[in-house]
Amino acid sequence: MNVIKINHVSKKYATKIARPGFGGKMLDLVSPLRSEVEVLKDIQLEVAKGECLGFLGPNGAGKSTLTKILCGLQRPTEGSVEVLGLNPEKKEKALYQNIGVVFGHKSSLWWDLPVIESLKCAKVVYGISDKDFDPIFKELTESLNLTGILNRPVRLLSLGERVKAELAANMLHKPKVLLLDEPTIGLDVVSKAQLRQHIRRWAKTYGTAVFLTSHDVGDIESCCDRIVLIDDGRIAFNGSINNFKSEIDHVCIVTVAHGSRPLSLEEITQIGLMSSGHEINEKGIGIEITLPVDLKSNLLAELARFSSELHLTTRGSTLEEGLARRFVKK
Amino acid sequence: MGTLIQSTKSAWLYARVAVSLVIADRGLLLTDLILATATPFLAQAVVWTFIYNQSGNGSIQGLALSGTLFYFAFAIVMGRMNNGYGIIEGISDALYSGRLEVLLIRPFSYPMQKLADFIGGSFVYMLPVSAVMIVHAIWLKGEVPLSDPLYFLGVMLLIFTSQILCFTISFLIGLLSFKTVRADLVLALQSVTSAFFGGILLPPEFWPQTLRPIMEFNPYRFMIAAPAEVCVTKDWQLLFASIGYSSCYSVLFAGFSWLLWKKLTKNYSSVGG
Repeated sequence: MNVIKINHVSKKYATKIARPGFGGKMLDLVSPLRSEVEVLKDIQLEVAKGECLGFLGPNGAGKSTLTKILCGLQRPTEGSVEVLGLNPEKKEKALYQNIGVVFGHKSSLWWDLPVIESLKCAKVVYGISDKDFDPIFKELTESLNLTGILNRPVRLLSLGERVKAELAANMLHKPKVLLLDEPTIGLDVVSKAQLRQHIRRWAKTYGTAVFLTSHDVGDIESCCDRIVLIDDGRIAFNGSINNFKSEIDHVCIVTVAHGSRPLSLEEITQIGLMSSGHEINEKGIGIEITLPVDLKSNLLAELARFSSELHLTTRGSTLEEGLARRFVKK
Repeated sequence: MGTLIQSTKSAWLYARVAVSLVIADRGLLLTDLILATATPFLAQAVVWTFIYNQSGNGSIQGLALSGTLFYFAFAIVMGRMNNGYGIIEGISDALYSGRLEVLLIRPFSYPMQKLADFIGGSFVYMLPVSAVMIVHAIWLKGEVPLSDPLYFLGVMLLIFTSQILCFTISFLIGLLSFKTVRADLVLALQSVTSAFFGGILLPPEFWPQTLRPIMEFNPYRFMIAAPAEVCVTKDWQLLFASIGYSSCYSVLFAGFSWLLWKKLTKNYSSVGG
């Protein structure tokens, strides 16, 4: 059953363009310059109950815009959105009662009050009964390791603690849909791991649909069943992580070093790498050559012919590298 | 019905949190309750004692020195209580930081959050209002307008409607923050207009005849001066009129705020994620 339906959504922004200099500022007051930017183009997407969808894309790709459209903070220019059968544009209470939204870099907690106050407030605002509140409160505080900081004012928390508290405040009412916009931004590895594990377990236990945007591939690999890549406002990939990995498996990376010294430009030219069209990057004391898998054996043979002293290692492409390549290609 | 109960519970909660926040900030408590109240009162007391001594009359414009000073005491504490600075600053900060987005996606609407927050925060400021009422009663040996229970209830109702009026005006002004980069100008405008038009600087009796019609019916009067006047002088007519006017103004400003809020939030979006 699909709990999120995005039907051919496009979003355009009209932005003001500031003219440079004092004269420009004066002119802006009288006749402002505007331009239109199309952030999302014909997005068609569904998220099922209990599914965890990772939404990936470079900066400015429209990830947060789509999250905001899903919770009614913005309206699509074209197309329509349904979340739990409701139109978010209408900003209905029934929608907010059943979704949880976390923006990694914005806090809804009371800055000067202890964490527990904000969590108890969620109880009242979402109308959670005592019977339901106590076990879920216990589960969340233990799972997210918040027990020790409940009585600490939010302003004294570390970023990781604050995000975890934020997540807890948005999960107390057991939302049917959880929208997470870069929830692990700026967190250390331990906090990230806790958060990812928690989100994954939560989605499976309570059948919550999770819509997760992130730049961190680790988030996506740990939590998501499916990924959607968005680039230049359009969906560039929509499928399982395994499918995406198999796509990027067509590429392999060969690392070449010459003993303990880097290869010189002359040597690289001599091997014929400069003219090969392969992607070449410096890596430590060696170079990394990215090339299609079917060309690997030819390259290795050429390198072996050039010098028997070369140290060669080969590996497949990581998800992060695959994504980066995909976005750079555009 | 269930929705109404939940909204009431949420409002009560926000009000309670606002009280906790005011109490938690001891610096603010000291500044607002003591310094910001006592200093202007002392300044007014010095000036008006000098004016009364110079005039040689026991009363000016029908007010004795003690009446004038009690008017100022009430007006100053009412001015502290009905102070929309926090509302405007809160809206501006939420907009500027992008925090407004997380506050908009709650089942309890943002304007209601702000109203409950304002009423709750004002509760603490009822302490100096009550203190002035007690001192006034002691000074006049109980012969004060508020000793009449019915009149007292009427004054309490006026204080409540004045709070709603203050909220609606301030919320409407706060919405200007959607169109400004910094709220400093808006905040300065609010402070000056409420002090001048509210009657903290000069009681209505001293307003120039030519400006009286405007001054008497300006909404700030019903926020600050009118409650102070009815506390000092028993005037049923002014009391009823003030309750009526402040209620009408509240409805008017609430209507404008609602329309503007709908329009602004429809196109609102903070930058980036």
